[in-house]
Amino acid sequence: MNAPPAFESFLLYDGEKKIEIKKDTKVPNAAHFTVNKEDHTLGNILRAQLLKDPKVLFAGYKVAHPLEHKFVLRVQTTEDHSPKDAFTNAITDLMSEVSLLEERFKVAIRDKQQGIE
Amino acid sequence: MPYANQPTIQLTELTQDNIKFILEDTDLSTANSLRRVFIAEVPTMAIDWIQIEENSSVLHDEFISHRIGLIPLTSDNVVDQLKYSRDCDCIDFCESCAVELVLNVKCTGDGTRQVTTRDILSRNTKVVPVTSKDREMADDYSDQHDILIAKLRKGQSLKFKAFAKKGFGKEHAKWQCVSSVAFEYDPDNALRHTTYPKPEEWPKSEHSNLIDEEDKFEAEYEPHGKPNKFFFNIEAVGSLKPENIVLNGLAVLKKKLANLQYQAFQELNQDNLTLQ
Repeated sequence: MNAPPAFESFLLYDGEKKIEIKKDTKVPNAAHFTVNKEDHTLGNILRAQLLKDPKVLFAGYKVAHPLEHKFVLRVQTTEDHSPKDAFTNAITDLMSEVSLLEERFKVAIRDKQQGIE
Repeated sequence: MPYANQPTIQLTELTQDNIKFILEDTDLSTANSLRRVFIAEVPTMAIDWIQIEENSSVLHDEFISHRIGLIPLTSDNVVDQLKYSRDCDCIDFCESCAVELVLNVKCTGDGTRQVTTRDILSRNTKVVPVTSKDREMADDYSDQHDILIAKLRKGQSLKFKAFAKKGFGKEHAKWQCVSSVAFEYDPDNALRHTTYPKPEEWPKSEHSNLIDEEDKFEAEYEPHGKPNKFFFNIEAVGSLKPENIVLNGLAVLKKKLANLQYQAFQELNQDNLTLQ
Protein backbone atom coordinates (compact mmCIF):
# COMPACT_ATOMS: atom_id res chain seq x y z
CA MET A 1 0.00 0.00 0.00
CA ASN A 2 2.79 2.39 0.86
CA ALA A 3 5.22 0.98 -1.68
CA PRO A 4 7.15 3.71 -3.50
CA PRO A 5 7.47 3.31 -7.29
CA ALA A 6 10.37 1.09 -8.26
CA PHE A 7 11.98 3.66 -10.51
CA GLU A 8 12.60 5.85 -7.47
CA SER A 9 15.69 3.81 -6.70
CA PHE A 10 17.52 5.08 -9.75
CA LEU A 11 15.79 8.17 -11.17
CA LEU A 12 16.67 11.56 -9.69
CA TYR A 13 13.87 13.79 -8.46
CA ASP A 14 13.29 17.14 -10.15
CA GLY A 15 16.06 19.44 -9.05
CA GLU A 16 17.90 16.75 -7.13
CA LYS A 17 21.62 16.69 -7.84
CA LYS A 18 23.55 13.48 -8.35
CA ILE A 19 26.41 14.41 -6.03
CA GLU A 20 26.44 16.83 -3.11
CA ILE A 21 29.78 17.68 -1.55
CA LYS A 22 30.10 19.00 1.98
CA LYS A 23 33.28 19.84 3.81
CA ASP A 24 33.81 18.04 7.08
CA THR A 25 34.61 20.71 9.65
CA LYS A 26 35.73 18.42 12.44
CA VAL A 27 39.05 17.45 10.90
CA PRO A 28 41.22 19.06 8.21
CA ASN A 29 41.13 17.81 4.60
CA ALA A 30 37.95 15.78 4.85
CA ALA A 31 34.69 15.85 2.89
CA HIS A 32 31.36 14.08 2.68
CA PHE A 33 30.13 13.10 -0.80
CA THR A 34 26.42 12.31 -0.90
CA VAL A 35 25.60 10.39 -4.09
CA ASN A 36 21.89 10.22 -4.84
CA LYS A 37 20.04 7.34 -6.47
CA GLU A 38 22.97 4.95 -6.21
CA ASP A 39 23.63 1.96 -4.01
CA HIS A 40 26.38 -0.38 -2.84
CA THR A 41 27.25 -1.18 -6.45
CA LEU A 42 29.07 2.16 -6.72
CA GLY A 43 29.64 2.93 -3.04
CA ASN A 44 31.69 -0.14 -2.21
CA ILE A 45 33.78 -0.01 -5.36
CA LEU A 46 34.66 3.68 -4.79
CA ARG A 47 35.52 3.11 -1.16
CA ALA A 48 37.80 0.19 -1.97
CA GLN A 49 39.58 2.14 -4.69
CA LEU A 50 40.07 5.15 -2.41
CA LEU A 51 41.67 2.97 0.22
CA LYS A 52 44.37 1.97 -2.25
CA ASP A 53 45.62 5.55 -2.48
CA PRO A 54 48.35 6.03 0.16
CA LYS A 55 47.45 9.71 0.53
CA VAL A 56 43.96 8.83 1.68
CA LEU A 57 43.80 8.66 5.46
CA PHE A 58 40.15 7.71 5.74
CA ALA A 59 37.60 6.33 3.28
CA GLY A 60 34.25 4.89 4.24
CA TYR A 61 30.70 4.79 2.94
CA LYS A 62 27.29 3.98 4.26
CA VAL A 63 23.79 3.51 2.95
CA ALA A 64 22.05 5.07 5.92
CA HIS A 65 18.65 3.48 5.28
CA PRO A 66 17.63 0.90 2.69
CA LEU A 67 14.53 2.88 1.77
CA GLU A 68 16.54 6.00 0.94
CA HIS A 69 18.45 5.45 -2.24
CA LYS A 70 21.69 7.25 -1.67
CA PHE A 71 25.03 6.73 -0.01
CA VAL A 72 27.41 9.00 1.89
CA LEU A 73 31.13 8.61 1.24
CA ARG A 74 33.55 10.19 3.69
CA VAL A 75 37.09 10.85 2.53
CA GLN A 76 40.00 12.33 4.46
CA THR A 77 43.39 12.88 2.88
CA THR A 78 46.83 14.15 3.86
CA GLU A 79 47.70 17.83 3.80
CA ASP A 80 49.14 17.87 0.29
CA HIS A 81 46.16 16.12 -1.31
CA SER A 82 42.46 16.96 -1.39
CA PRO A 83 39.43 14.70 -1.00
CA LYS A 84 38.10 15.92 -4.32
CA ASP A 85 41.26 14.94 -6.16
CA ALA A 86 41.26 11.57 -4.46
CA PHE A 87 37.62 11.04 -5.45
CA THR A 88 38.11 12.00 -9.08
CA ASN A 89 41.30 9.88 -9.32
CA ALA A 90 39.46 6.91 -7.88
CA ILE A 91 36.73 7.20 -10.50
CA THR A 92 39.28 7.50 -13.29
CA ASP A 93 41.15 4.44 -12.06
CA LEU A 94 37.96 2.41 -11.84
CA MET A 95 36.92 3.42 -15.33
CA SER A 96 40.27 2.35 -16.72
CA GLU A 97 40.00 -0.95 -14.85
CA VAL A 98 36.54 -1.68 -16.24
CA SER A 99 37.63 -0.69 -19.75
CA LEU A 100 40.63 -2.99 -19.54
CA LEU A 101 38.40 -5.80 -18.35
CA GLU A 102 36.04 -5.16 -21.25
CA GLU A 103 38.89 -5.39 -23.74
CA ARG A 104 40.26 -8.56 -22.23
CA PHE A 105 36.81 -10.09 -22.15
CA LYS A 106 36.22 -9.35 -25.83
CA VAL A 107 39.54 -11.03 -26.65
CA ALA A 108 38.62 -14.03 -24.52
CA ILE A 109 35.27 -14.39 -26.29
CA ARG A 110 36.85 -14.16 -29.70
CA ASP A 111 39.42 -16.79 -28.78
CA LYS A 112 36.76 -19.08 -27.37
CA GLN A 113 34.55 -18.76 -30.44
CA GLN A 114 37.49 -19.35 -32.76
CA GLY A 115 38.45 -22.33 -30.68
CA ILE A 116 34.96 -23.79 -31.15
CA GLU A 117 35.09 -23.31 -34.88
CA MET B 1 46.37 4.98 -13.64
CA PRO B 2 48.27 5.06 -10.41
CA TYR B 3 46.42 2.56 -8.29
CA ALA B 4 44.16 0.76 -10.73
CA ASN B 5 43.94 -3.01 -10.88
CA GLN B 6 44.75 -4.89 -14.06
CA PRO B 7 42.17 -7.64 -14.01
CA THR B 8 42.54 -10.78 -16.10
CA ILE B 9 39.74 -12.97 -17.32
CA GLN B 10 39.71 -16.63 -18.27
CA LEU B 11 36.67 -18.05 -20.04
CA THR B 12 36.13 -21.65 -19.06
CA GLU B 13 32.77 -22.38 -20.65
CA LEU B 14 30.49 -20.63 -23.10
CA THR B 15 27.20 -22.18 -24.22
CA GLN B 16 23.82 -20.90 -25.38
CA ASP B 17 22.57 -20.37 -21.86
CA ASN B 18 25.60 -20.31 -19.65
CA ILE B 19 28.95 -18.65 -19.27
CA LYS B 20 31.64 -19.58 -16.78
CA PHE B 21 34.68 -17.45 -16.24
CA ILE B 22 37.42 -16.77 -13.72
CA LEU B 23 38.21 -13.17 -12.86
CA GLU B 24 41.62 -12.53 -11.31
CA ASP B 25 43.79 -9.66 -10.06
CA THR B 26 40.97 -7.50 -8.88
CA ASP B 27 39.26 -6.70 -5.60
CA LEU B 28 36.31 -8.36 -3.98
CA SER B 29 34.43 -5.07 -4.30
CA THR B 30 34.79 -4.94 -8.11
CA ALA B 31 33.78 -8.58 -8.48
CA ASN B 32 30.76 -7.99 -6.26
CA SER B 33 29.73 -4.85 -8.12
CA LEU B 34 29.90 -6.80 -11.36
CA ARG B 35 27.72 -9.49 -9.86
CA ARG B 36 25.19 -6.86 -8.74
CA VAL B 37 25.18 -5.26 -12.17
CA PHE B 38 24.62 -8.57 -13.97
CA ILE B 39 21.63 -9.30 -11.77
CA ALA B 40 19.94 -5.91 -11.61
CA GLU B 41 21.21 -3.38 -14.11
CA VAL B 42 21.61 -4.98 -17.53
CA PRO B 43 18.70 -3.76 -19.70
CA THR B 44 16.38 -6.11 -21.57
CA MET B 45 12.97 -5.92 -23.24
CA ALA B 46 9.76 -6.95 -21.51
CA ILE B 47 6.12 -6.10 -21.95
CA ASP B 48 5.16 -3.13 -19.83
CA TRP B 49 1.91 -1.83 -21.30
CA ILE B 50 -1.07 -3.92 -22.28
CA GLN B 51 -4.54 -3.21 -23.58
CA ILE B 52 -6.87 -6.18 -23.31
CA GLU B 53 -9.65 -6.14 -25.88
CA GLU B 54 -11.27 -9.48 -25.10
CA ASN B 55 -10.80 -11.79 -22.16
CA SER B 56 -13.43 -14.43 -21.55
CA SER B 57 -10.98 -16.88 -19.98
CA VAL B 58 -11.20 -18.00 -16.36
CA LEU B 59 -8.20 -15.85 -15.41
CA HIS B 60 -8.83 -12.17 -14.70
CA ASP B 61 -7.19 -9.36 -16.67
CA GLU B 62 -4.51 -8.38 -14.16
CA PHE B 63 -3.57 -12.00 -13.66
CA ILE B 64 -2.97 -12.51 -17.37
CA SER B 65 -1.21 -9.13 -17.67
CA HIS B 66 1.18 -10.11 -14.89
CA ARG B 67 2.00 -13.36 -16.65
CA ILE B 68 2.49 -11.59 -19.98
CA GLY B 69 4.93 -9.15 -18.38
CA LEU B 70 7.07 -12.00 -17.10
CA ILE B 71 7.54 -13.55 -20.54
CA PRO B 72 11.21 -13.15 -21.53
CA LEU B 73 11.69 -11.51 -24.93
CA THR B 74 14.79 -11.81 -27.11
CA SER B 75 16.60 -8.54 -26.69
CA ASP B 76 20.03 -9.16 -28.10
CA ASN B 77 20.86 -6.40 -30.54
CA VAL B 78 17.66 -4.45 -30.15
CA VAL B 79 18.00 -3.24 -26.61
CA ASP B 80 21.15 -1.23 -27.33
CA GLN B 81 19.44 0.76 -30.05
CA LEU B 82 16.22 1.49 -28.19
CA LYS B 83 15.75 4.38 -25.82
CA TYR B 84 14.00 4.17 -22.49
CA SER B 85 10.38 5.22 -22.99
CA ARG B 86 10.70 7.93 -20.35
CA ASP B 87 13.62 9.48 -22.28
CA CYS B 88 11.95 9.32 -25.67
CA ASP B 89 10.40 12.55 -27.00
CA CYS B 90 7.44 10.86 -28.64
CA ILE B 91 3.95 10.87 -27.16
CA ASP B 92 3.12 7.37 -25.94
CA PHE B 93 5.21 4.89 -27.91
CA CYS B 94 7.17 4.86 -31.13
CA GLU B 95 9.59 2.68 -33.05
CA SER B 96 12.59 3.94 -31.15
CA CYS B 97 11.36 3.20 -27.64
CA ALA B 98 8.97 0.25 -27.83
CA VAL B 99 8.01 -2.88 -29.74
CA GLU B 100 4.37 -3.78 -30.38
CA LEU B 101 3.13 -7.32 -29.75
CA VAL B 102 -0.35 -8.73 -30.28
CA LEU B 103 -2.24 -11.88 -29.48
CA ASN B 104 -5.64 -13.00 -30.74
CA VAL B 105 -6.85 -16.46 -29.82
CA LYS B 106 -10.36 -17.86 -29.81
CA CYS B 107 -11.13 -21.40 -28.86
CA THR B 108 -13.34 -22.88 -31.58
CA GLY B 109 -12.89 -26.62 -31.18
CA ASP B 110 -14.20 -28.93 -28.50
CA GLY B 111 -10.97 -29.47 -26.59
CA THR B 112 -9.02 -27.07 -24.37
CA ARG B 113 -7.07 -24.48 -26.34
CA GLN B 114 -3.79 -23.65 -24.71
CA VAL B 115 -2.75 -20.06 -25.26
CA THR B 116 1.03 -20.06 -25.30
CA THR B 117 3.84 -17.73 -26.30
CA ARG B 118 3.69 -19.27 -29.75
CA ASP B 119 0.52 -17.22 -30.31
CA ILE B 120 2.23 -13.92 -29.57
CA LEU B 121 3.04 -11.99 -32.74
CA SER B 122 5.59 -9.21 -32.75
CA ARG B 123 5.99 -6.23 -35.01
CA ASN B 124 9.74 -6.57 -34.78
CA THR B 125 10.93 -10.07 -35.65
CA LYS B 126 14.00 -9.60 -33.51
CA VAL B 127 11.94 -9.14 -30.33
CA VAL B 128 9.93 -12.32 -29.79
CA PRO B 129 9.27 -14.53 -26.80
CA VAL B 130 12.40 -16.53 -26.03
CA THR B 131 10.63 -19.80 -26.76
CA SER B 132 9.82 -18.65 -30.29
CA LYS B 133 13.44 -17.98 -31.11
CA ASP B 134 14.82 -19.93 -34.11
CA ARG B 135 11.47 -21.54 -34.78
CA GLU B 136 12.33 -22.65 -38.30
CA MET B 137 15.51 -24.46 -37.39
CA ALA B 138 15.88 -27.75 -35.52
CA ASP B 139 12.25 -28.31 -34.68
CA ASP B 140 12.90 -31.92 -33.78
CA TYR B 141 15.78 -31.31 -31.43
CA SER B 142 14.54 -28.23 -29.67
CA ASP B 143 13.41 -28.80 -26.13
CA GLN B 144 12.01 -25.29 -26.10
CA HIS B 145 8.68 -25.49 -24.43
CA ASP B 146 6.31 -22.67 -25.25
CA ILE B 147 5.29 -20.78 -22.14
CA LEU B 148 1.65 -21.39 -21.24
CA ILE B 149 -0.31 -18.17 -20.71
CA ALA B 150 -3.90 -19.39 -20.26
CA LYS B 151 -6.25 -22.21 -21.22
CA LEU B 152 -9.47 -21.56 -23.12
CA ARG B 153 -12.69 -23.54 -23.42
CA LYS B 154 -14.92 -23.58 -26.47
CA GLY B 155 -16.21 -20.06 -27.06
CA GLN B 156 -13.67 -18.29 -24.86
CA SER B 157 -11.19 -15.88 -26.34
CA LEU B 158 -8.22 -13.73 -25.43
CA LYS B 159 -7.21 -10.70 -27.46
CA PHE B 160 -4.73 -8.00 -26.50
CA LYS B 161 -2.24 -5.47 -27.79
CA ALA B 162 0.93 -4.85 -25.82
CA PHE B 163 4.10 -2.78 -25.93
CA ALA B 164 7.47 -4.08 -24.81
CA LYS B 165 9.80 -1.54 -23.28
CA LYS B 166 13.43 -1.38 -22.26
CA GLY B 167 14.13 -1.74 -18.55
CA PHE B 168 16.38 -3.49 -16.03
CA GLY B 169 16.01 -5.77 -13.05
CA LYS B 170 16.13 -3.02 -10.45
CA GLU B 171 12.79 -1.73 -11.64
CA HIS B 172 11.04 -5.09 -11.94
CA ALA B 173 12.21 -8.69 -12.02
CA LYS B 174 10.66 -9.22 -15.46
CA TRP B 175 13.58 -7.29 -16.93
CA GLN B 176 16.18 -9.47 -15.25
CA CYS B 177 18.35 -11.17 -17.86
CA VAL B 178 19.93 -13.84 -15.62
CA SER B 179 18.31 -16.61 -13.65
CA SER B 180 21.29 -16.70 -11.34
CA VAL B 181 24.88 -15.53 -11.03
CA ALA B 182 26.99 -18.07 -9.17
CA PHE B 183 29.87 -16.30 -7.46
CA GLU B 184 32.65 -18.00 -5.54
CA TYR B 185 36.06 -17.07 -4.17
CA ASP B 186 38.64 -18.77 -1.96
CA PRO B 187 37.16 -22.28 -2.36
CA ASP B 188 39.41 -23.77 0.33
CA ASN B 189 38.75 -21.10 2.94
CA ALA B 190 42.40 -20.05 3.22
CA LEU B 191 41.29 -16.56 4.24
CA ARG B 192 38.93 -17.92 6.90
CA HIS B 193 36.13 -15.63 5.76
CA THR B 194 33.84 -18.31 7.09
CA THR B 195 34.24 -20.61 10.06
CA TYR B 196 33.37 -24.27 9.77
CA PRO B 197 32.80 -25.92 13.14
CA LYS B 198 33.56 -29.27 11.42
CA PRO B 199 35.34 -28.72 8.08
CA GLU B 200 35.15 -32.43 7.23
CA GLU B 201 31.37 -32.24 6.90
CA TRP B 202 31.48 -29.89 3.94
CA PRO B 203 31.83 -31.14 0.34
CA LYS B 204 34.76 -29.69 -1.58
CA SER B 205 34.02 -27.11 -4.25
CA GLU B 206 34.69 -27.93 -7.91
CA HIS B 207 37.25 -25.13 -7.90
CA SER B 208 39.05 -26.48 -4.87
CA ASN B 209 42.75 -27.24 -5.03
CA LEU B 210 42.37 -29.83 -2.31
CA ILE B 211 40.10 -32.15 -4.24
CA ASP B 212 42.58 -35.01 -4.36
CA GLU B 213 43.80 -34.69 -0.80
CA GLU B 214 41.62 -36.80 1.41
CA ASP B 215 42.77 -35.64 4.81
CA LYS B 216 42.84 -31.90 4.16
CA PHE B 217 39.49 -30.17 4.28
CA GLU B 218 40.61 -26.57 4.58
CA ALA B 219 43.70 -24.84 3.25
CA GLU B 220 46.35 -23.38 5.55
CA TYR B 221 45.35 -20.11 7.11
CA GLU B 222 46.78 -17.09 5.24
CA PRO B 223 46.48 -14.15 7.63
CA HIS B 224 47.55 -11.57 5.03
CA GLY B 225 45.76 -13.06 2.08
CA LYS B 226 43.21 -11.10 0.04
CA PRO B 227 40.48 -12.42 -2.21
CA ASN B 228 41.98 -12.45 -5.67
CA LYS B 229 40.38 -15.14 -7.82
CA PHE B 230 36.63 -15.08 -8.47
CA PHE B 231 34.65 -17.87 -10.13
CA PHE B 232 31.54 -16.71 -11.97
CA ASN B 233 28.82 -18.84 -13.53
CA ILE B 234 26.12 -16.79 -15.21
CA GLU B 235 22.93 -18.55 -16.22
CA ALA B 236 21.07 -16.58 -18.84
CA VAL B 237 17.28 -16.49 -19.13
CA GLY B 238 17.45 -16.42 -22.93
CA SER B 239 16.68 -12.76 -23.54
CA LEU B 240 20.36 -11.92 -23.94
CA LYS B 241 23.24 -14.18 -24.93
CA PRO B 242 25.53 -14.87 -21.97
CA GLU B 243 28.50 -13.09 -23.53
CA ASN B 244 26.31 -10.06 -24.19
CA ILE B 245 25.16 -10.05 -20.58
CA VAL B 246 28.75 -9.65 -19.45
CA LEU B 247 29.63 -7.08 -22.10
CA ASN B 248 26.53 -5.00 -21.44
CA GLY B 249 27.10 -5.30 -17.71
CA LEU B 250 30.60 -3.92 -18.03
CA ALA B 251 29.30 -1.14 -20.25
CA VAL B 252 26.61 -0.24 -17.70
CA LEU B 253 29.17 -0.06 -14.90
CA LYS B 254 31.43 2.11 -17.03
CA LYS B 255 28.51 4.40 -17.86
CA LYS B 256 27.62 4.78 -14.19
CA LEU B 257 31.19 5.74 -13.36
CA ALA B 258 31.37 8.13 -16.32
CA ASN B 259 28.13 9.82 -15.27
CA LEU B 260 29.43 10.14 -11.73
CA GLN B 261 32.67 11.64 -13.04
CA TYR B 262 30.78 14.19 -15.11
CA GLN B 263 28.47 15.16 -12.25
CA ALA B 264 31.41 15.44 -9.85
CA PHE B 265 33.18 17.72 -12.31
CA GLN B 266 30.08 19.93 -12.56
CA GLU B 267 29.66 20.05 -8.83
CA LEU B 268 33.31 20.79 -8.10
CA ASN B 269 33.61 23.55 -10.65
CA GLN B 270 30.43 25.21 -9.47
CA ASP B 271 31.59 25.50 -5.90
CA ASN B 272 35.14 26.47 -6.70
CA LEU B 273 34.83 29.68 -4.73
CA THR B 274 33.19 28.32 -1.62
CA LEU B 275 34.88 24.98 -1.06
CA GLN B 276 38.64 25.00 -0.90
